Amino acid sequence: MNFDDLLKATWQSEHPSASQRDLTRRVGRQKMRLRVRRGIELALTAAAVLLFGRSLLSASMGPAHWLTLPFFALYIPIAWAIILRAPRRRAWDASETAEVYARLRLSQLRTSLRDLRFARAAAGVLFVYAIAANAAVWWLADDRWHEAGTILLLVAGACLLATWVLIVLSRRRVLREYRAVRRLVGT
Amino acid sequence: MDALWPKVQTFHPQLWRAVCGYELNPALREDLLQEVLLAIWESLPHLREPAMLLPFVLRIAHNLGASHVRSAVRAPIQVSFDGSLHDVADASGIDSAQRQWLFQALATLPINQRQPLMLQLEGFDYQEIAAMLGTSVENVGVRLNRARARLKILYGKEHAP
Repeated sequence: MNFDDLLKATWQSEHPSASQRDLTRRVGRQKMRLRVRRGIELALTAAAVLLFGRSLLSASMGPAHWLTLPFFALYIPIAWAIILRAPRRRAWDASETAEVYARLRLSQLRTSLRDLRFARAAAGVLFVYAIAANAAVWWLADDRWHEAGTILLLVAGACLLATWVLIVLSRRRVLREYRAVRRLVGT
Repeated sequence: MDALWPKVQTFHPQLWRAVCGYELNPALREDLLQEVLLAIWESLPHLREPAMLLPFVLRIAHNLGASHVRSAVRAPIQVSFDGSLHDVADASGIDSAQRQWLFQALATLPINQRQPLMLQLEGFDYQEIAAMLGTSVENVGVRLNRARARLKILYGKEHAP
């Protein structure tokens, strides 16, 4: 057997195990996983909207609500804008030739990197808002507002940290894929 | 369910081999295969020529494999022991060690050489490979020659007396 035949015979002797044969079940499981993830995102948004909606309607808005309202009013639309605008990998993009797919994917990954920069800027702006709001309430308002201001600052700090961690992890993954796909088109 | 889905299931071995060519970790192979299957499921309505189903599904597997390869590169390789796979030659006389050598050797090739080689091993000719990758037949030939030469060197080192 020459080398080419040996390679071919070796390659074609690889078969999936019997336990992997039910492809329909596997696709169903993957689809369910994606639905659960999207469901969690929607539930978190709905919870925030309900919380503030209820306070607004019952006219029971306290200092904490007034201080965090701009925070949520800005943060949630931005987070959703990023999620909805994200150049999602449409399944059928992958059915194009390697050349076309690579170019499409590169453009999607470039947009992802831009969105990550945008998310970082948004988190930074919100933190600056929390510091400014905190300074204002400590200077102008009473104790009830001081407490709310401190909580806002802590929440904004935690949010900035979480966003930063998320950006670092996502950026690493996106860059790795970007480099791999760029090698595919030889640019 | 798309009418072509049952036919896709018959291409499971080809899809599995494509996935194995991009990922050595068994757990990550499973994840990649699921990703590929989901993409195929969602792409089937876009297939214009049902006769070209195999190149269509393999194109999806290779494209997703190429962009997956780097995302998992730092994950530790965990190979579970399966007694039924060891030291047993199959009907073609190929044992699991030989298959393992091939997939490890393929992993050392750059993606643009690995892709055409895997498609050739699957039985496609130069023209079909060029059409699937969106490149010229000459380019496919050059990449295949380099890939084979590299594998030959690795094979020689492995089997040197």
